[in-house]
Amino acid sequence: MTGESKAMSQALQAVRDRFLLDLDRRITEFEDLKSQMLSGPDPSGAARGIAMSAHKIRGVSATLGMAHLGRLAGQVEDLFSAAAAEGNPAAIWRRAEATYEDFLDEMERVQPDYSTS
Amino acid sequence: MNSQRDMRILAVDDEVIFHDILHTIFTVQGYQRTVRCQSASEALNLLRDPAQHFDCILLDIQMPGMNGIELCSHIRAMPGFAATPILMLTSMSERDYIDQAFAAGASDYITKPINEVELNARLRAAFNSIQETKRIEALTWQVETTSVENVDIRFSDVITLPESKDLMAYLAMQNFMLTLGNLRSQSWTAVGLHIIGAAQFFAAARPRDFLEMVQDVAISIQDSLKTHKYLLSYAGNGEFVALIDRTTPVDPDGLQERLTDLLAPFAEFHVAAAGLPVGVCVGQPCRNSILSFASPIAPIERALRSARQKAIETEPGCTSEVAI
Repeated sequence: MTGESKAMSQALQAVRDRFLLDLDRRITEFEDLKSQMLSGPDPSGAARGIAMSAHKIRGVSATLGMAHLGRLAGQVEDLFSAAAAEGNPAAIWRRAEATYEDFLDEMERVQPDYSTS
Repeated sequence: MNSQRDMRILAVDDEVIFHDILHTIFTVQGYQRTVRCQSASEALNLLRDPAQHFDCILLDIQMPGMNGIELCSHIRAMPGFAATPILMLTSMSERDYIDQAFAAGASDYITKPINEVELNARLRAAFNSIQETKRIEALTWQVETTSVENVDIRFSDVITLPESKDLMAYLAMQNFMLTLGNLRSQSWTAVGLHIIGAAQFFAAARPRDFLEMVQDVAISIQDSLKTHKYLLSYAGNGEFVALIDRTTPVDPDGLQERLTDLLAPFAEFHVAAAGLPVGVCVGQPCRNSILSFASPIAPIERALRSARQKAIETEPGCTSEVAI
């Protein structure tokens, strides 16, 4: 968070941890919505769902010290909300795939490594 | 309520993590009286509950179901919430919605990602607005219930006009233009409207009559602008500002003539109350140029000056220059 004091940063650590622990669920949600967009009965609705979920991440990431994730979430939100009205999932996907994959990669990258090796 | 930290704040956002962030910031900053909910329906239930009281409301714009802008309109229509500060929570992508939010009655906005310094500043402004509203409410009560000779009203007061619906608070109008920034604020043209004889009317009439006269003028302005997309505020000193969508330009002389006609039926009451009828001078439309570095609220100030100057030229000695 810009302009954040040390005390605030420490206080937000618990929220940051909760957010990171929840990322797996969000990734699964994104992948479900992607499948619905490409093969479901309501591709525009699924695209709007992706935009809405990305919007939520956009609104909190930078505050929790993950500005790059927030920027990618913003790009995904903008791409999918603009494309939702088109109703052409293949075209939406061609335009948004690279950004979408970068976004999911970043979600995976910021997660803590729980491996014991 | 002695400080902004004593405010009871309702925060409405569908994202749990955002609530956690807000709760953390509030706790560290000493705000103890905060309530969270995740949907418009939940918020409306809380706000309708007579056992609950909220001094300030934070609304996320994008929520499933009823969004924050629709919720803002609903809240403003509820009894007791006409002046409650409503702060919209927005991300950069939602800037397009901000003018809709202000038109729906929002008082201010806070940008996500949230910043503790900005949050504090916005809440301080909300607190100041509550204090001012209380002062005006006390004043209105005095006007309605006591001997009007002793009411503490100043000519410069930015009075809330309870019977003039769709009138925007002057501070909210300034916030709106600041939010739009230099580029987007150019889609609005500011027009100042100066009540000729307002100062003399104020000096001669009872405060209640002055308020009614200002209300008559507000209604007339709204009537004359009904074919335009506009926002209107009372700025104190017998002056209004209208922000008019530049796609529906206004002719100041035509507007002034129309206002003269619309105010004519009120003349009898105004003469009875203060010994003089009032008129309205409409100043030149003002907008920042595309290359201007002036503040987005500069056109508002220029518009008021223009109307005031025109009033001086029209009726020398009949403007707010009179010391009250």
